[in-house]
Amino acid sequence: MSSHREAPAISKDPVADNTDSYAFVSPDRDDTVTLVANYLPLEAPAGGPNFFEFGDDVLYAIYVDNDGDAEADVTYLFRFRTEVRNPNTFLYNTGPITSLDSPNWNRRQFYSITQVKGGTDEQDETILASNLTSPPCNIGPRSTPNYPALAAAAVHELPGGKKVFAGQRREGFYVDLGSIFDLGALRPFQELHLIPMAAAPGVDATKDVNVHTIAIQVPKRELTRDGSTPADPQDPRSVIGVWAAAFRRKARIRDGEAHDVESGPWIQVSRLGNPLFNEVIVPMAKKDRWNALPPSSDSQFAQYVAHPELARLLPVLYPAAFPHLAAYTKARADLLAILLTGIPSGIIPGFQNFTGAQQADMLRLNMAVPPSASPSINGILGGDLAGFPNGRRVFDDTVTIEIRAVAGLTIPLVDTSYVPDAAAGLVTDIVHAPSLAGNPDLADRYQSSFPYLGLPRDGFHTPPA
Amino acid sequence: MSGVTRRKFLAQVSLGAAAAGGLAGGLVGLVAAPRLPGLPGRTRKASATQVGGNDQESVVAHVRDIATGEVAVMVGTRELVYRDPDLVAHLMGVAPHAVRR
Repeated sequence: MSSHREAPAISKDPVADNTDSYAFVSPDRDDTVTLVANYLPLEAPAGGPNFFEFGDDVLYAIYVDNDGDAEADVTYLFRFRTEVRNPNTFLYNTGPITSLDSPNWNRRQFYSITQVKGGTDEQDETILASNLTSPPCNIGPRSTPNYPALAAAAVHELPGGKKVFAGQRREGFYVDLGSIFDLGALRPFQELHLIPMAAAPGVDATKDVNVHTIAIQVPKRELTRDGSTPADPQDPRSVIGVWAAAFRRKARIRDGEAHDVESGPWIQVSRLGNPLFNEVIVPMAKKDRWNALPPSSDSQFAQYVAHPELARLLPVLYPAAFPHLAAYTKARADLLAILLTGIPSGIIPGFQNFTGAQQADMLRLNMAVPPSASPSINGILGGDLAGFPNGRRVFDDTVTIEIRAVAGLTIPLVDTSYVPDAAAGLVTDIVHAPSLAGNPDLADRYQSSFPYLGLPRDGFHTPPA
Repeated sequence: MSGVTRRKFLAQVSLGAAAAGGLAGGLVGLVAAPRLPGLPGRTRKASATQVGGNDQESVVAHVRDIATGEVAVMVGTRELVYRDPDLVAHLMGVAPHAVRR
């Protein structure tokens, strides 16, 4: 599910598990880009008394490549520090938390942001801010009676027009989790499945869980290679590649007395560019290795993009639905472009997000494409050039987009002789209206301003009594 | 696929060579260069604001290969890998005396 628990090793380390990454032109500040990296998958809102938090022993990173070599040119590093006010209570809070400095809040987290800028030869590092406050988790009406105010207070303005937030938010990614991993069942089409059942609309399995979000909003000019503000979608300087990661120290010595020793370099344990890349493209035996590698190493995984296992499975699981896909044996140049190099000019009118020949799994955002006034959750497949795979917005239906692409809907971009199966343009795991406004329950998960993901569910009301 | 033409294009893809490792010759054997996460092999400048190790942290040594005497020494966020067969031989002599706790 995007990248939640997507590899064996990281599934056992949720604090470092990068679940989703997003990169989009801020809809309410279109001279900026918002970069989001989520961690801690499937947080049950009532999960106390030790509620969810970032790891003090984890280094979190968001990377931007602006010259197409799949190496970071701008990096934002986030480090967290936890403080306990009262060591003599087991409680997360000893009364209502009404502000970020409330004496009732017993376990608080603070963080710093380091910006690293540089090419291949040298880097400049700057601490953008330190001792910034994360909000508490949303516990319930007695403990966090005015959560919107707490969350708003945790949006920090930084010099130079930046904003940052790090803390709990509502999960923005939606998927029929229970069905899709039950032998690839897509409930709306499961009457056609090899093991058929009556068709059903699909179940949004993540609508009541939370994640921990790191979000930073940055002026576009700070992300381009030459400091320019992108204006022309055809200009290569308008495109950036984005991914996120998490790191742990190489050595940890446990002493059994809560005084563990950590030492050595930071080792990457989680990575995420395009949603679902490691999850459904990379084979099980190589997922942990993929998580440890930089995007510049991704050419070794190109074979799994060119001949994705899922494209072979769909005609088997849905025997009558994908005859054209079943007969297609060529390398999937459409997927290689969408996921590993970006889409060159001349394919989609007015659009490109091509970063060059270097294959790398990155979100590729053309920053010169303005935000859409009426966004389609199907992104570019829905005719909305501001959506995935042009970067990724928090509400994009990436499951449907990627299933349809793998099912062959995008093959004609590179092979005009191919006619997609009718099912390729219809297949989805949950039935949604194409517009965000047409899905009120879905729209409720997001907000129109930074950090765009909605307020987290609280533990008292979730699940509803 | 509204708004999408069906013109054929060739994906400009290539299989790039893997990045070279950050190992260089040292006094005794192998020396691992300092690295920032995800950015192997780059030099760093600035000190007052840099994200770096704390030299007051413990030193951790890891015998990577008994046969070659390769040892990794970690301090702060730095790691030195070198060959010291005498040290490894000494440690291997001590190892059988480790007690179970």
